[in-house]
Amino acid sequence: MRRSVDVESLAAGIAVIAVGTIMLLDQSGSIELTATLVGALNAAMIGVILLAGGLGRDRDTGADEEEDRPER
Amino acid sequence: MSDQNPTPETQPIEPGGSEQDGPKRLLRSRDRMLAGVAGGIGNYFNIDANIVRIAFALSIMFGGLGVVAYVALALFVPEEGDQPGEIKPPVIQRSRALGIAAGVAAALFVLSWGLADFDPWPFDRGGWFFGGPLLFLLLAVGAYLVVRGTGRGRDLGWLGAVLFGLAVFVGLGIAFAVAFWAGATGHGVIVASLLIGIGVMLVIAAFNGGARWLIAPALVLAVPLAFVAATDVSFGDGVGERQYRPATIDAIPDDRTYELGIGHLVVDLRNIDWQSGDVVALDVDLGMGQAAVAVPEDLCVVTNISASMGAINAAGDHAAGFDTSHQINHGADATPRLELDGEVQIGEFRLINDDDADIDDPHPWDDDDLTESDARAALEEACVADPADGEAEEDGADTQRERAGNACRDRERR
Repeated sequence: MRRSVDVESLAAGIAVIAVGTIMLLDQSGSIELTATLVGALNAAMIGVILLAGGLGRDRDTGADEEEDRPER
Repeated sequence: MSDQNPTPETQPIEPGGSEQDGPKRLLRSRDRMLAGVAGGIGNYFNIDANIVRIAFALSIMFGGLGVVAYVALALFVPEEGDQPGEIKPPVIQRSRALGIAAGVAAALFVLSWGLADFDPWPFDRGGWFFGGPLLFLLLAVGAYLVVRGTGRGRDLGWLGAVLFGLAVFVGLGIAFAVAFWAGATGHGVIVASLLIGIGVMLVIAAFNGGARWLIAPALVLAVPLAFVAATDVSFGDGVGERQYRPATIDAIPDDRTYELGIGHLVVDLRNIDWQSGDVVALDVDLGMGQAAVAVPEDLCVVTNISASMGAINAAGDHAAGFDTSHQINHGADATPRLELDGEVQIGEFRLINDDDADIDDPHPWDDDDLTESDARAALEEACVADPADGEAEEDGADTQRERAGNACRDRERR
């Protein structure tokens, strides 16, 4: 059986890597971030995590319901 | 994994606990305009629900306590079921996600409000009710909701859940502070690398069952680092309280700069005997906290003040938000003159142009003697050059040369 991917962890991981990379570039002096940009960046990261969490939960709930359904 | 609690949507009343036999229970009513809270209270006390609704509406004018109470009751009070005798559990128990979200929201709200303007009992300012005692109460409720939302609340009991939740918050708070400290002391690259590492672990774990718990530490690292990145705040310039009250222009540092990393920076220039012809270009830089500069009423001040994240209150002018700035009297050449270049990354920058105002007074413009418009007008008026200014400036330059000459002669005599 194919192992399913945890969408929330995957999306969160990608978002965190993206934000971490931008922060790394800023802290190493390669780019200069403004307060507005950083705020938007973090909001986007949290938004992606919440969205993925919501979608993942819907799928989980659906899977649970599928398991609970009696076999015909 | 299911998001839903095992708690049934409705539950029968226990034998002997019916509305007829047992003690009366407060339930949200099905006769509702919003969440049925007013209707429920009306039923409970046997009064017209409209009276309760009016009371809630009026309470908004008394610090907003009614709004907080309404939301709390809507979340925590059970609801009348569809069938007579049925009771639906409180909203907060129906969904784990809702419990966690409400808990985190309560904690974030409490922390952000509490850190921004901590006042144990702000009734005297006509503000909202949220004071110090409520801050801790809400934090405890938030902790309880988070722990309960994770499913552990039932095993721990309410007190254990509150203590466990508070411990988790404190732990995350310490990690937050450490990340902030690391970023502000020039170790942001390490924190950013850790963040990327956690991201990689999350991606790998996603294919092995997931590791959602890693999201919390990732956010705890990302948010403070974002603050540091956005504001360039640095602990390197010092932390704490700094007060400077130079008595002469010569007492101002040679580089004409006062700076502080984090804390409260006060620069009071009112003791200086400003002479015509005096021109001082001064930098006041603060990373995080509050910077206050006080100047005499009749001194011409040319301002160029900026705040990355926070507020500027300059001689009655207010500006707040992200990347805000304040300029006034640009191009003025009246003397004596202060050319103030102020910068605060996170916090507040205040410029007070009043001879008598207390520099520590958070609301100096509330006094009858000094209104906000007066302060602004005084600042502009001080920079209006009169015809004698040209001569005065020359005289001032002569005076300065004379002072310098006297100082040289004094040194030679010694």
